Amino acid sequence: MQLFRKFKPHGSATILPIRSKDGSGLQARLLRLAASFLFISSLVLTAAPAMRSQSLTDLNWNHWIGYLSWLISFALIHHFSRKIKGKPDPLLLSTTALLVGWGLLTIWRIAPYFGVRQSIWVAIGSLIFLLGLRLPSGLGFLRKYKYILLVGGLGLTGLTLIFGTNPMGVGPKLWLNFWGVYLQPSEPLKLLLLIYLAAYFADRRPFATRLIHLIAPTMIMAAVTLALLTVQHDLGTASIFIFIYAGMIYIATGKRRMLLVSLVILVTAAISGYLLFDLVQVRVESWLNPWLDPSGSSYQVIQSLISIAAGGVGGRGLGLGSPGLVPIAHSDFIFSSIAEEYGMVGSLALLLGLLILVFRGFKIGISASNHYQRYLALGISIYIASQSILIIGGNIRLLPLTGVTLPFVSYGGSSLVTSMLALLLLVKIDQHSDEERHSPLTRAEPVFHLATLLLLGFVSLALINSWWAVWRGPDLLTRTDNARRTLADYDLPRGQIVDRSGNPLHTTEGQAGEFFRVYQYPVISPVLGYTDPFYGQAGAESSLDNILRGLENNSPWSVWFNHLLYGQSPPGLDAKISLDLELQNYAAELFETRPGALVLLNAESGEVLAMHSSPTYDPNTLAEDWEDLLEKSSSPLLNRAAQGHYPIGTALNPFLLAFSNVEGELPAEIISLGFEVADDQLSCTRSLELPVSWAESLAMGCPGPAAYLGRELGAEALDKLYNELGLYSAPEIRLPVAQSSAQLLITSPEIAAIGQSELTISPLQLALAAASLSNQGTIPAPQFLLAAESSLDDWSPYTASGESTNIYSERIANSTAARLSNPDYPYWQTTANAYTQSGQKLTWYLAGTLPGAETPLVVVVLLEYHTPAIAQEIGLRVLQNAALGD
Amino acid sequence: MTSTFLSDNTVGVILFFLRLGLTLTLIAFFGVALKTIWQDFRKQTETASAISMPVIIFQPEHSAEEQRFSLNEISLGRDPGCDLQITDESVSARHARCYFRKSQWWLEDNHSSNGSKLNGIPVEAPTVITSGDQLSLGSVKLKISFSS
Repeated sequence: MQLFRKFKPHGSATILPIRSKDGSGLQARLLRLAASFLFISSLVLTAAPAMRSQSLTDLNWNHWIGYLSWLISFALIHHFSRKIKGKPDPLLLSTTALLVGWGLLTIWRIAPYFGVRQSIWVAIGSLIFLLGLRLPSGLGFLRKYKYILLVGGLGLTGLTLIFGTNPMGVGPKLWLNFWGVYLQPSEPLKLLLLIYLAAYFADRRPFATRLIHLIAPTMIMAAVTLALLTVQHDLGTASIFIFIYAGMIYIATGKRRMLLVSLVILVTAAISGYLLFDLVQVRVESWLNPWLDPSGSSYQVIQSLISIAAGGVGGRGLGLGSPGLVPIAHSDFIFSSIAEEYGMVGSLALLLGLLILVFRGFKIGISASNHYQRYLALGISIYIASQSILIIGGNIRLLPLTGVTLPFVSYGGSSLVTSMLALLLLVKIDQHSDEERHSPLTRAEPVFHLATLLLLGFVSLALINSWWAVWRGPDLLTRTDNARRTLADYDLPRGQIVDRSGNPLHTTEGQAGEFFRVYQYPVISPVLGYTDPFYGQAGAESSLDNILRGLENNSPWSVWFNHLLYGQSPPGLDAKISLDLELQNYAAELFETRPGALVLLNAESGEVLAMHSSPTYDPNTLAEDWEDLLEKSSSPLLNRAAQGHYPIGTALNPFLLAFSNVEGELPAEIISLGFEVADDQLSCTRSLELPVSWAESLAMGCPGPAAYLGRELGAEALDKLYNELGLYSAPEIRLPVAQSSAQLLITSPEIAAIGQSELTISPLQLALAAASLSNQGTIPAPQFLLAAESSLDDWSPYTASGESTNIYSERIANSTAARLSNPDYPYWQTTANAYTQSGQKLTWYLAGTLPGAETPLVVVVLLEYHTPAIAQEIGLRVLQNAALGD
Repeated sequence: MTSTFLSDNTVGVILFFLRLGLTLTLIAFFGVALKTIWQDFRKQTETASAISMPVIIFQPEHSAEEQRFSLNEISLGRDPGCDLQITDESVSARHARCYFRKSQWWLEDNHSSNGSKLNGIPVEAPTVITSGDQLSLGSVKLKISFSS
């Protein structure tokens, strides 16, 4: 008894162990793993919406239809495949099952409408496969009718020239509409061409010496096929045909020069395609230089790359990413969708699955029972491999984009059924080849070469994919055309911006999924800016984005944990800024609608107490006002205080006075108050009668004494003055600021001293320089961000990022301030004029506290008119108010 | 305001473990698949290395000239494309083929007009050849021998 039970037949089982008794056991095991993988994926897809909206009632069940359709289809395929003679390769069937199911769930996740249709197609494809298993295994009937089949396929494809439609309404008309069911004849045409070529080459064995006699008829057929596809503008399929044709000839003849000839054909086809078709030109150009036109022709490719980058290594989590942002994600870009949600782990597994299919196909081809079946199996492998490489390569910018499908995975009935038929042919060939009738391989070299070539193709796909996902990922994700950031704003509350006393300035309202930003004080808008899914970000909303978005000041662990668990950042944190709401509103009130800017600083700490830019706008109605705001010549979106470029004019006077004090005593006499530049007589801000003191004339913005001092100081000293005042460098502050002027080549010390050189500054820069006079000669480091929320009702303080710099001694600063003051006010003051290049006359007003003040303050006002009295009044009142409130 | 948000991590944690699970099943799938391929490959190389193909030698009758082949399939016929070209009117263009299979050399007739004989017996199905066999293709006679 024992002996019989353990008896095993010898021989055949050892050479191909896959086919041995445990073959179907292995298939069952792999199918169980695939089924579990898809089952868990479906569970995740069910729960993901609840996760996104934070509500347990939000569950998604639709895609279980797809799972069931897949499960039943492949359970039947498994069941019947075990019954046939010579059980099919378990790896082939189970890997196909995994890819089909994976694609199906991904389609459900992106576009449920297509998910329903694809579920039906999976059932139909499997039914056709099951029926096909009953066909005679030699596939001789296909060989016999090769011409009829190919001509029939061509005819059907030709019909699309007349009756062709596109299910999407636009684009190439490659489909035939049969009562609502769309068929793309060029898909099965690939298989028919393969059958024809395999049968033809097998019939001609052994080959005649003249190669041209051998391939001439196939060339005619291939040319007709290609011409048809070219007329149809289905260039993706046409390139696959060239691959298949070249590969088949190489395998059949073993002539290496055939590969070269095919390469020449391919290049010629590519060049003529480029010259003849606009579509090819656009595709090639957007492949070579995608960054030039990211919102136009290369939109798809760039969005696809961003999608892959968003996935990173571990993926954003199924149902938690935004793969739908890539156009046609369920078909052409299904690879990037899988890469985004399953990460690099998933996309590499997908590549591996396709590679296993291709190599099992090669294996079946090698051990096929005759040359016809061998050529057919190898041809099918080349078809699966080249189509996969072509479309994935397009997704990851390794190759120009062609609109072909990813076999087994992409949406599309014709594509899926064709893939299943290809699988059926492989299974039939495998089944037919048993040990007794194994035809030897005459030339191993071409097969080996082609397999190596395709393997290299897949390896490059894997490498390039990893490059985008890991190395270039962080760069890509910060691009402004990555809509994931703004989408996250709908799901996550953004932190508030509060003023120095904790008054909320910008808040987030609504609930998960529809959060929106509320701007409480539109008058501060040029400074605080806006954040909007469509119009982007500006002002403090942009510079404090990382805090408000929860990426900064949260522990890196918490950020990592949130990304891991939810595929998003932690909830945003509040930011406390240095502005004082009362002063801010007061300044806005005084400005009314006058264009200009104001900066009020604590001269010691560098904190920006008030920053006003006028005119303002209302970010709450950004969408309605956008076009208007962009067109207005008064540029309300600009923060004039930090981003404006203005000539300094005679606002340089106080610093000239302080610097001349350093250099030596002033002459007693002032020769002229005004100054003439290019026939223009520049004058003081107020009419003065000689004799006046140096300090008085300088405080009135007189250009004459300034020019005199400039001449005395010389170009080098003025350059040093500009540099020390920080006029060549942009302030280091958590706000978007203007780029500073480059260092000047001072040719005329007089022009430089009256501030009419090419130098431009922002009011913030001037306020910082002015702070030195109220702060014992030291320019403080500016500070805008005071603190960020850290945990429950707690703030973690921020310090200024820049350094304070001492530019002159306390004695000089104090004496200069004293000389610029008058007995009526406890401040030093200067009014000044400046002329823009277009001849517009601006007014500057600078003032600051005198030594001994409790809180050293400094204010700078700029008005875009010649109105020294108003500038002075605004500045003085803000300064007084700030000093009082303290 | 942010402190209470997402404090209930349950859904996230469950989802995370599910995602971990699906990644592991995916890896398990490919682990099993790759292991199978590897074992398959090893067995095949072991089997292949155990067999060594002898070189086949064809020697026409009454002639010292001989043709050696180290190919695993040889086509015989009048056609210049054949591996062994036999210029004789009684031989068909693609008359027969010899191939190495299951550690043995086999002869198969390609439905030739005048038929093939092995040691005088007509060949109708693929037949095993041994060293010293007499092969007749039409009226041409060849002696077959092997050398390792």
